[in-house]
Amino acid sequence: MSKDQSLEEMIRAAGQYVGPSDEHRASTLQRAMENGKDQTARKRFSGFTIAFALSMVLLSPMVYSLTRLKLPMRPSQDDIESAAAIEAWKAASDPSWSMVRLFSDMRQTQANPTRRLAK
Amino acid sequence: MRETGNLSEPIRQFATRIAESGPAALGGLYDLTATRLVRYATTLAGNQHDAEDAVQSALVKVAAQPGRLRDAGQPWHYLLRMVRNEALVILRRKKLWAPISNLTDLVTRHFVDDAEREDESRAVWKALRRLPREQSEVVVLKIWEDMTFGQIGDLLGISGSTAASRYRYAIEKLSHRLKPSESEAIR
Repeated sequence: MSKDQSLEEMIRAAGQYVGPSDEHRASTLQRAMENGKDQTARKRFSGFTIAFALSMVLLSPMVYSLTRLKLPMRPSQDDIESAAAIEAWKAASDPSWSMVRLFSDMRQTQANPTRRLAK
Repeated sequence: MRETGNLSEPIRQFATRIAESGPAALGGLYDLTATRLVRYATTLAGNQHDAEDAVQSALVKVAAQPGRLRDAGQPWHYLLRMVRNEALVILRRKKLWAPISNLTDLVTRHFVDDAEREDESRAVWKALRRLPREQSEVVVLKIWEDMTFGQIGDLLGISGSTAASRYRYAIEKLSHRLKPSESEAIR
């Protein structure tokens, strides 16, 4: 065996001399597991964020049209009573019945814009 | 210890298993490679503590993305490169790094009834620590990992002939330092 070969053999044998510490295996596996859990949590969070952003994009036109919707002003009690009196006088009917009809018409008028939006 | 030539295929299989079962399957890969990776990283980082950190970081990254290791042409060389990169990151972080000249940081194996072999091993490790890092890592890869100069060159990003000349310089220095008469003095 040449001088270099015997030196190489000596170095090769020294390779067995050093190894990882006793706790290194456990700590490496634990860190890998924790990292895996973090990664799963990050994936879930980013999935939730994307879903939230998409729903916002989809819902925003609806929210916009809802904010643009002009609901009719609510008439005051005096307006309703005077309108019912006029109606009763015109139709020569009972003022209470005129009041009921007036309320029905008013509810119908208020509901129409919302129905249009739903369609 | 398994021959390095046979390491790539089992590493690929372990990487596939990790990809299928998650980080819990990392134990097998650790058992197969950790001793080699730690001793290589120790020659790079200059102390065992940082070397173990480098190996741990590399293996945690493998567990997070096992597909990269599985799909590598030479998974063993890829893993060595990962550990090398991690060790260099640690070295860069420690700007005022000074290699430890004694062996107190090392977790060593004691050879029962073979004190001479243990003394020789200590002398070799001390001599390796006195070499420049560029030279000691070539010696480690050549002798401990049975790599060709071409493979070492690929791993280190240098030509095969540069790796060979670094090896020659290193062996020349080591042959002076590990002569029987001088190795006694080193101890």
